[in-house]
Amino acid sequence: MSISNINIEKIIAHEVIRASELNTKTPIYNNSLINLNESGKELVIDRIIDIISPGSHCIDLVAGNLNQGGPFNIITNMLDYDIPVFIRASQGLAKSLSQSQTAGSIKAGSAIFIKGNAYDNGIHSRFIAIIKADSDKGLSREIDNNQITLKYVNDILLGDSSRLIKIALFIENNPPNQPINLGQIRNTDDFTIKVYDHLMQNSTAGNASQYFYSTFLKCKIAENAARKTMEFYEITREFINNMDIEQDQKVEYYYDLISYLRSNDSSIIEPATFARGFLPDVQQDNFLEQCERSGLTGSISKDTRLIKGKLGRQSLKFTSKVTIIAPPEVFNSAVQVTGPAGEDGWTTIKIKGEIEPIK
Amino acid sequence: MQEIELRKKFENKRLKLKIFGKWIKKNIYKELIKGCKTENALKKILQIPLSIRVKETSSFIEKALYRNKKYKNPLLEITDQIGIRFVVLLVDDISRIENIIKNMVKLNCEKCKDFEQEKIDNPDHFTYQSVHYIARPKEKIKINGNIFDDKLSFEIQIRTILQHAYAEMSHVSDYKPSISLSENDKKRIKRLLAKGSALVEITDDTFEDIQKMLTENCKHIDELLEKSTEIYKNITGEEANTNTKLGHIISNAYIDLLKDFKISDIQDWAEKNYYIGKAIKEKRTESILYQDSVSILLCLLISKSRITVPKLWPEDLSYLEDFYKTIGYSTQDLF
Repeated sequence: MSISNINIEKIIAHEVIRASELNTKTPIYNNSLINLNESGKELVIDRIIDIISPGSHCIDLVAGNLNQGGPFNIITNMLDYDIPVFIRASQGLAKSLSQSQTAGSIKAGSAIFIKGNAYDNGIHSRFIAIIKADSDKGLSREIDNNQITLKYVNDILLGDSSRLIKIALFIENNPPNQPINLGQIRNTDDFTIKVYDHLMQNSTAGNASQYFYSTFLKCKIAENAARKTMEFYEITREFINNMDIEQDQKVEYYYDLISYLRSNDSSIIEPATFARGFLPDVQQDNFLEQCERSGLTGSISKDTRLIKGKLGRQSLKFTSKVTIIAPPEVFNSAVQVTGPAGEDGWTTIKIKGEIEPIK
Repeated sequence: MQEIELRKKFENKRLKLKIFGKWIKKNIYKELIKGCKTENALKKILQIPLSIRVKETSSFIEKALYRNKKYKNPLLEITDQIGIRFVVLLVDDISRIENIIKNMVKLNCEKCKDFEQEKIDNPDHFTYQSVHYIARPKEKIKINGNIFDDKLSFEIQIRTILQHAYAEMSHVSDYKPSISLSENDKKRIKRLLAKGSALVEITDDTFEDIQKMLTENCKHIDELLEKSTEIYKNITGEEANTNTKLGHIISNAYIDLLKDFKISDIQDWAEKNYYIGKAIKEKRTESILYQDSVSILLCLLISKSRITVPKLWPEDLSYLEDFYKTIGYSTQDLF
């Protein structure tokens, strides 16, 4: 999976505010496209690549509401709209984004709409990108009469912090054979939808993590999340099994996998994060290559339904038919295998705690 | 008196030999550069600058009349009146030099001492090792009004620097007044020289092994870079900078990863990612990294090892960060 050679054709930005403010205030809607210079374009492209391409945290979505006038219909049609209609459509979407911003922590900011083209997995494709950018604060340096002055600026957009950016990308992988009629409903199979929102990595963010991709874009997390999660589990288990290390070390890595999948820190699974966090340096790239060969090219939404049994309790089986079973949350800290079995065929393990009396 | 006459004749001949010596040195040197491609490459092979030695008169007379060799016409029969010696680093360099001189159009060369053959014939002997040729002009050569033909012969010696050290040591011990040495000491010296010769042979073989390992690695990297140059031209439409210091620094930094790369990997990558050529081309004016054929190799490295590549990057990381984005890779959490 890669996206490159990004070319921006149209770009426009509007103000978005919180839903509760809409009654008292009208956001600023731009009536013309923005003429962004080359460095500006490069910055926007950099942000898109950083957030969408291999190794990033974005996940795949499927379109939910396919009705005429729904977000999928409008956004995909924006690829073929002329400038005035493109502007009107973007204004409508910006308003709808403001209306979706109901949860307490959501900030006002800007909605940026981009029509462009790029190579996505080797296919020259058109795309629409929608960026919700929260404003950042900073200082701007100005030089006047050989004096440097610093001016406080509170509306810097698309800075380095990915916490302040949400992006949705609708990539047209299958161009239409005939010109599109205004309002025509496109086939969902013709598009890949990717979204990045740092809140989605945070399983405690609740509604705030859903408003962008769900309330506003009416998209759903791909229905195969549970299957993909199981695939990740199986690929990783196999990878660990094939590593050229002692059995006791393999068991350690396997526990790490279980902990990673059970962890409540994130609601998405990122092969790259797992690799960097748990695997030895020399194996990290091999692991990613293995994932990519098996079709896991990026992050996936975590759904452990199909592997509940594997995560429910952890066990350590020995060739002598002895099994040690423990709840996963204590396994790592209370069971220690001190090394591979010796020549005498005995494995030494350490278990924290005392033997309980027989009841 | 035979000796006085011979001395006079040889003195006269020596002047002519010197003229021929200068000419042959110049011509051999030219051929060597051609054969080694560059003067620098030749300098790496030759451990001692090429020199031509015309036999001293006294040495000629001694050989002609005093060593019981019974020459009928020593002026024609003594073949080493002119000597050229090549001292090279490795045993393998000897055959390179041999090939160059054997192919010189104006000379006929005949091998008269071959240490490789001697090793086969006398497996338990450790002694002087060197390759010797007797060379003669194929046709008449005219230099400054003097004519040289196939009656003139000269000797070419080719040896490694270690064999040279042995030869020098052995020469020194030969000419020391042996009268002051007892028979036992003479035997001991002989034995010590044989030990030295054996060590020389072992060390030369070891050096050869080192060189083989180096060239195998270099050869692979060079082939990858060569393929990258071809791919660069195909997908960008521009000529790449090749054989650059930057290219070598970068490929050296990833030598362990590149060991597993096959030439076909570059081709496969290019077939799937040909459009990256346009992105690279557009960046050509910004940095020499994008003008270099190593950029293609770097694309392949990133596609296979995007976590490891930044860890081993030998230059300022900002260049690599920019490169990642140009070819469509996220730099999040990697830099």
